[in-house]
Amino acid sequence: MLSIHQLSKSFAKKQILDGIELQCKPGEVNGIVGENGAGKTTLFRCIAGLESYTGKVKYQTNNIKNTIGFLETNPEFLSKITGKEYLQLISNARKIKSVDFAAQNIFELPLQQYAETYSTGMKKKLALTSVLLQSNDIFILDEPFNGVDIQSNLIIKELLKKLKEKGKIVLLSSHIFSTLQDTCDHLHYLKAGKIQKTVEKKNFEIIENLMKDAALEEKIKNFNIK
Amino acid sequence: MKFYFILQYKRIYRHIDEFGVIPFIGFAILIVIFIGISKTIFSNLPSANYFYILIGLSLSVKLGTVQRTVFLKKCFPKQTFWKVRMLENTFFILPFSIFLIYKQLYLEAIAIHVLAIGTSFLNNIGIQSKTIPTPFGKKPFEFIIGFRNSFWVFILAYALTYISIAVGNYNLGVFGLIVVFVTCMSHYSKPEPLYYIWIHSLTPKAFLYDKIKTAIIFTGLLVLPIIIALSIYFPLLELQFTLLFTVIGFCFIMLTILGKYHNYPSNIPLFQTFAMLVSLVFPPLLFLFIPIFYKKSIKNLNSILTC
Repeated sequence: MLSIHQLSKSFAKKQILDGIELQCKPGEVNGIVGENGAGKTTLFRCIAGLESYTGKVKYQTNNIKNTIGFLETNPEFLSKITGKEYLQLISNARKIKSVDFAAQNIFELPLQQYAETYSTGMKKKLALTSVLLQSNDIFILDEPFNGVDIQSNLIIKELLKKLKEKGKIVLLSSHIFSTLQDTCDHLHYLKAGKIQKTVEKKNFEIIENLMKDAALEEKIKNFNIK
Repeated sequence: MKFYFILQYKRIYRHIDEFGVIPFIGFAILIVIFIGISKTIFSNLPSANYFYILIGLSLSVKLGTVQRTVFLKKCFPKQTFWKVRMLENTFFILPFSIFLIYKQLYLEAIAIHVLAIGTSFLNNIGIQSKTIPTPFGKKPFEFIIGFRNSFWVFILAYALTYISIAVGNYNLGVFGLIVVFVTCMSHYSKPEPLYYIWIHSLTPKAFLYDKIKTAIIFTGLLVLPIIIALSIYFPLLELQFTLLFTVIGFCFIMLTILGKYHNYPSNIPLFQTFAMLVSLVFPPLLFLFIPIFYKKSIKNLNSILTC
C-alpha cells in the first residue's frame, strides 16, 4: 500500500498542498481531479520525489522512486534523440536489459525519427511506452489521455486494466471525466491544496456535481457576457 | 526591426548580468577573449586565414536554426525577415572582419562578410528528417546529441591532424587533439532536465561513475586516431607531450561532468568556469578541484536519486 500522510508543499509563500492524506492499494486505479492549478501535478511530483515536501510518503521499499513509473504532463525530450534511443536511455537508467523495442511499440510510433519532431500526442505516447517498459509497482500518470487520439485513448484504457490485473498501484489525473469514470476505482477531489472528497466508483457523480457546481455556480453566474 | 535589435542587445546584457558580471566589464572581457583567441589562431596555425573564415561562418550559420527562423517569420513580414537575417549575420561577423582588416587581410575580410550575408539564406537548420548515425547507440545521451550537433568539428580536427603530419607541424596536431577534448566537454555543458537524473536506479556514486566511465570511453574513441597518428609521426620528445595533453584532457572531462552536477540545476557555472580557467593555467590544481566538485555533486545528487 502507498500511504501519503500530511503531505504539504509551498512555493515561496504560496501553499500548494496542505496536509494531503491518501491511501492507494495495489490493483486499484486512483484518479485525482481538480481545476487547473489545484496542485495535481505538484502532488504527483512530490510523491515521485521530484519535489521536496513536508509529510510522509510510505511504501514497502526504502527508495520509493525506483518503484515508480512517472508520466509527466509535458514530457521533455532531448534534441537529436530518436524515439528508440529515448526508450534505450530510459531502459538503461532503470537497468532493464535487452528490450525488443519494435515489439513493445504498442502505439506504432516512428521510433527511428527524432523524438523532438513528434507531435504532442506522439510525445506523450512515447513517454508512456517508456514508463510501461519499466517493471514498476507504482504508476503515476499525469494526464495520460491529454493530446492523444481516440484509438490510443482506447489502448491506454486497456493498458490501465492490465496494470490493475497485475496488482499495480495506479494514480492518474485527467480533465476528461468520462475516461476517469471508465478507468478509476476511486476519485479524489483536490481543491485549495486539500483532498476535499474521496468517492468510490458508484458515487462518482458526486464529484462530477461538485465540480459542476464549482464551475457553473461560482464562475459562470458572475461572468457578464455583453 | 530596430526594436528587435535593441531587444537582442538587452538579452545579451541580461545574460552577462545574470552571470554575475557587470555588463560593461562583461563586454570588455568578451572583446579581450575574442582578440586572444583570434591571435592564438593566427600565431599557431598555418593557413589560419581560411580556418578563421571557416570558424566565423560555421558560427554565423547557427543563427539560422529552425526555432529562430519560425520565431522571426512569425514576427516579421517576408521582406523584413530577410533584412533582419542579413543584418544579424552582418553584425555577428563584424568582429571577425575587423580582426582580418587589422591583420591586413582585406580580401578575406570582404569574403567573410559576403559569405556571412550569403549564409543568412541558410535557414531552418536543425530540421533533419534523416537521423545521423553515431557509434554511441548503447548509451544514448550526451555523446549522441553532441556528436550529431558537432560531428563536423571532429572531421575538422582529424583534417588538422592530417595537415599537421603533412607539414610537420606538431602544434597543429595537438590543437586538433584539444579541439576534440573541448568539443567532448561541451557535450556536458548544459544541465539536463531533472527527470533524466531522477529516472536512474543508481546511487549518486554509481551515477557519477557511470557518467565519467562513459565519457572517458567515448572521448577515448574519438581522440584515439589523433593520438595514434601523432605518436607515429612525432614519436620522440613530442610523445610525452601527447600523453600529457591526453591525461589533462581526460581530467578536464571529469571536471566538466562533476562541475555540472556540482552546480545542478543552475546553468550559470561561475565557480566551475573559474576552476577551469585556473586549472588551465596550472593543471595540478585539477587534483584539488576534482575532489571538491565530486563531494558537492554527491550531495546534490543524493537529494534527487535517494528518496
